[in-house]
Amino acid sequence: MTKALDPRTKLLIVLCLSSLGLIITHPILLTFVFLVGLLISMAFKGDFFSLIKRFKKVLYLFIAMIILQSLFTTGGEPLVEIGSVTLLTTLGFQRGFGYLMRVLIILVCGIIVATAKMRHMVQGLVQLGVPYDFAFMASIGIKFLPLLVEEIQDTFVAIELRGIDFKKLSLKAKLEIISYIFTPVFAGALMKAKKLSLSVECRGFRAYDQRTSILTLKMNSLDYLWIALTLTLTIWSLYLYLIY
Amino acid sequence: MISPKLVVEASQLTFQYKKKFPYILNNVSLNIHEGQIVGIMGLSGSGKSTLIQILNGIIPNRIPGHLSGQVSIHGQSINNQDVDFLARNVGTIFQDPDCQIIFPWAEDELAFGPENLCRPPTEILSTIDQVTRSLNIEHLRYANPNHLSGGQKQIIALASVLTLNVPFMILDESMSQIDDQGREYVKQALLTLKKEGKAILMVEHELENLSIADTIYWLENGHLKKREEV
Repeated sequence: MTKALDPRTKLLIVLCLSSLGLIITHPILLTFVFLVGLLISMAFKGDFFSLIKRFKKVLYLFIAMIILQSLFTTGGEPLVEIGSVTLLTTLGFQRGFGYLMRVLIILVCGIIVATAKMRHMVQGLVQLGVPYDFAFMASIGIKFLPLLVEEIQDTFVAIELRGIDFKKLSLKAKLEIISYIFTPVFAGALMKAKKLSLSVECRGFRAYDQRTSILTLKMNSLDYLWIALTLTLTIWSLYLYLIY
Repeated sequence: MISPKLVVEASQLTFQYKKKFPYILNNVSLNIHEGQIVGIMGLSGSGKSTLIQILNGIIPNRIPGHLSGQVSIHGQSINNQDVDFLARNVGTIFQDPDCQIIFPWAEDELAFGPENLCRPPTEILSTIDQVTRSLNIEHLRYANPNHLSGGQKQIIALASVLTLNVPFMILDESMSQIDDQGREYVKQALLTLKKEGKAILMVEHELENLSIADTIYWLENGHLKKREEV
């Protein structure tokens, strides 16, 4: 039922969630926003937990940043102390936790967007008045990301086939190899981008300022219900937050 | 008997990227008629890709260089023509389908070209019906091209050009990345297009891929010769 929602409705939900994530600073309220977003993404059949698994390595980086932010924030009551040195304060903990919640809200927003078909999302943006070129570029970016990852993986396999076990190398040696592969990988990606641009131009891309579409999105009563609910909850939450 | 109409006329094409650089093409002439499949072979660096880029207008519109000679389609010169004219008259299918297919739904891919040319949606849908029927790929219409075989992807790329209803099609080593079954699939599709009167230019490395060509040329040192003359 929710999968049939217009992508513009999903964009509005994402806009509201991310705005709340930006404006609200209280960690408990941010947790509440995240949980609401998580429930919405689950209602749209988005798989939050498999995304967490896929981006495990990036998440470690975020967690490290959160710990660093917590440790370097002074103010508030001390929570962890070693001798006379304060390691963690209540303010540091609040900020670190708030940062984690914001990252999770962004992830949940990404999941909600990802539940819409790419073509529908592009059309939704076009019908919202975004020029087709911009909407198209965004969709091409999404297409190119896995290609770039594939290119990097292939290069690493090629290195390993030459007898180098990347995992056993020191950090310095790893960085040196990464600097070597950087140029060919990005040159390859640029070549692919050039081929793609020639291919779309040969099919008349940007021949005119306007273009037609076989797809026209129409909102239904369910969309209007979601929009009304989202706007009401967002405005009400902001009102309560700003007043109290 | 009425002789088939001349679709593509390339005469005395000479090209170099910069004045002091060597000639990539030297006085190359080529004619392709309706329902004719012409094959071009040549070693790497022989100028095959440059010739394709001149025939589809990428040179000199997108890639600059010193070009002399003339390319006409149905008697109309393609020099200094806009994107609209070129897209309506020349279709190019490149080597790697992954660099051509943009959308995760074949129907969107097929609609992309005509949508760019502002054709009405009802007309686009009926063209897609017609093209998918003609290539016998109705079952692929709602498929995700990323989940298809190399041959099927290349057919989708071919169909996405056909929906523009171009009279002249160029295939740039389009069979190099697909298996034997895929090649047969593409060849059958090209024979169907030949029957429909399309002028087709195939540029290939392997002679076997040109088994359906009516005439085969060899491009070497910027000169184009019939294969029998080499």
